[in-house]
Amino acid sequence: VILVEDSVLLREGLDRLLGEAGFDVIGHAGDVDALTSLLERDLPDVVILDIRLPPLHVDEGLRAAHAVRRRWPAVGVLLLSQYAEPSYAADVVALGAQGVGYLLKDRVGDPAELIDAVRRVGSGGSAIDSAVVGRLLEGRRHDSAIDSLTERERAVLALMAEGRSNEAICERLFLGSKTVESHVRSIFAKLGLQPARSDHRRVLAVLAHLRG
Amino acid sequence: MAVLAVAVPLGVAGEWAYSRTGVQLPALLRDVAVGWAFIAAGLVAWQRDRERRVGTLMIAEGLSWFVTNFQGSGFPVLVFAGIWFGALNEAILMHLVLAFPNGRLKSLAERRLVTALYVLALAGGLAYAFVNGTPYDPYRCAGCTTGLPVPAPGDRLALVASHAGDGLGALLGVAVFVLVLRRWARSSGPARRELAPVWLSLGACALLIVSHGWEASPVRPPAIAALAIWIADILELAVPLGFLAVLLRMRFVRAAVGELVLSLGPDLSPPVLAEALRRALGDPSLELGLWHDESGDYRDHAGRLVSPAGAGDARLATLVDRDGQPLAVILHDPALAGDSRLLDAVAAATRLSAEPRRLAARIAASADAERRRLERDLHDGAQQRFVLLSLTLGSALQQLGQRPDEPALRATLARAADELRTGLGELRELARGIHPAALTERGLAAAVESLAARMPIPVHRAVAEERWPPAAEAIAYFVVSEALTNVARHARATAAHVTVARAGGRLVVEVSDDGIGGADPARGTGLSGLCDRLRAAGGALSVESTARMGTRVRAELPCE
Repeated sequence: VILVEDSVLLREGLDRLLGEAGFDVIGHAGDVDALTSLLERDLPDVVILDIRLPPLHVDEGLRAAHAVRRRWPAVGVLLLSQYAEPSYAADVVALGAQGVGYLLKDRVGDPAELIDAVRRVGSGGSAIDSAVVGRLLEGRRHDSAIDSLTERERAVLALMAEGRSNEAICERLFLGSKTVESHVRSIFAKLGLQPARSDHRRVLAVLAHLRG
Repeated sequence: MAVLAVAVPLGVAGEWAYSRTGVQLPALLRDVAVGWAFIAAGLVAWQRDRERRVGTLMIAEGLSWFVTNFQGSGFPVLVFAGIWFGALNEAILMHLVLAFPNGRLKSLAERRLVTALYVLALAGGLAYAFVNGTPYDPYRCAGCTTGLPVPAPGDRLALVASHAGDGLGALLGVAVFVLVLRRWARSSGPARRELAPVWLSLGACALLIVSHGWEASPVRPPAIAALAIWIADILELAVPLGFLAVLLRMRFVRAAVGELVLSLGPDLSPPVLAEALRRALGDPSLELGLWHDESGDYRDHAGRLVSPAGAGDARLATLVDRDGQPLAVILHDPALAGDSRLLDAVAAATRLSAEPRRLAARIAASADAERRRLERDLHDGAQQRFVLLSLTLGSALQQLGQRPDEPALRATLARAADELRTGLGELRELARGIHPAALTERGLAAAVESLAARMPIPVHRAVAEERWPPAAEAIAYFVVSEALTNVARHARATAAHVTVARAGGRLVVEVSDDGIGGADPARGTGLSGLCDRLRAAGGALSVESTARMGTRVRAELPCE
């Protein structure tokens, strides 16, 4: 893992947290240039990137994510932000076929959640913050298709949008794999979506639907 | 006073000399009137600095008018002077015609022509005095000679010289006519009005040409020549009055610009001012452009570019600034340029109009910057600290997880972590309200999407994926935000539409809904505040809301 975060304290905190969880933090960077030279030396499984980085503190991290994706497509990118913006989530998922994530910085207070997200991104999956998905779902509460979902189905939909696999959904909701599969089928039918061939496509399709 | 000390004796002597020729009383009175009218008009003009040149010319015209009369005085020296300077008043009049209204000759052609006129008048007059020895037609009188030996009457040389002089005078007169005609053709509105007394003078001039022509022709019925001169003199009486009228009118216009500013009262908005200036200056082509810091150019109230360079020949650009900072540009008829004080008055009025807008734009821009700064401070300060705190708490909880013997401490820490999470959420909302990060980072489309996701009804969006100047984005965002808030609160709508698009160099924002309508834009404090900001940015806000037909809020602002 490489950490890119301009606040030294947060970077060190994350470093310790990830180290304790068994990750090998191979590099730190405070800005995009430092990240590039790190990547030129050694490739990590995941780059954890703050969205706002020097010099302008606008969206340097997001731009850097695009650059990393283009040059090193095998490296997973997990973006951290103080804000839960739906359009960012879509941007992040659109970054590539696999290994992308968008988390609120708040999640650093929930190590298990953070570590799970890093693992998912590192193994080629997606991780979208539950707060982002929550806002998207809330924004669609006037959507009759979403309305027609059962409570359970909505929970499954949210977890799908967060980028979780069927097995993870089973664990979270304490459901059997058959049940989850049937929920997923039912959701896709109700939303009028084509069944997705991969988890990533599933996230793309679900997020696209939620954004309207 | 000095002028009068010369003019009074000169005038009295001139008229006494004229009376000696046996002229009839009406003609004498007319002659007195013309001379004094010029002197009086000249004195009036003299009171004002910028009219002093033209005033001088008018006084000179009046004085030379009297000098001409010396031909009838009977004193050889005075007769000689009268003959010599006999045509001087005509040359001065033509000079006045060409130099009106500011007393300056505008081209080389004009300067050359005026020089030629003076040379002809003085040299020709001198030659005439030596060759002829007796005055012009109306001044023939007993004993009115220069006393110098002259060639015998009918001498061919004398005749040719005299006719050549008259013919040349006529030619120069035509040249003056052509130059004035050219000026007329090139000018418009106010400039043409200034030319009115000039035309009057030229009418007189034309008649003088006719009369001179007659004198030059071999067959000359003196009665008709005299009649022509008489009519020309009547016209000449109208000439000084005409000049005076135009000068006074220009003063009135100047005063009117001041009056105008007062009469406009509180509404000094640029379109109102531009229209008022057009009326006061009688120049319908006038354009007013205000400086926009964001785009670094001048624009009219509709956002169209008003380029000082694009003024062309037909119009002139006057720049208005404040301490070297550009404020506005006025494209106007070149005639106004001759009058620096009039332009000063116009500039002052424009400053009054443009400055509050500029200040408002500045204040709005600095408020925007302040909001962005606040958001950044929150982001890098409090939010960051809370995130760190949450990290620390998280690892404390994790460490505690390895010690199952402290369930109460564990619960307390978990509660603290929960509180912290809520606090972070609230802080995030606060920062978003101050200045949405999505707007700075991703632009209007993302920020509007974020707004739409908070709405209880579907919001259909057509927002151009394009970045605009930060100030424009901020205003557009707050218009959408405020309008959507109103939709959610009052409209009872089932759906809303937001469009943001570029239209001819302007950013156009429209928010409409299918609700109950009947919104009163005057009552919505949020929108009226935005209306002020839009105006400061050179934009405009309109609200259409009919009962049961929904509401449509439309904002436009310049964005280049």
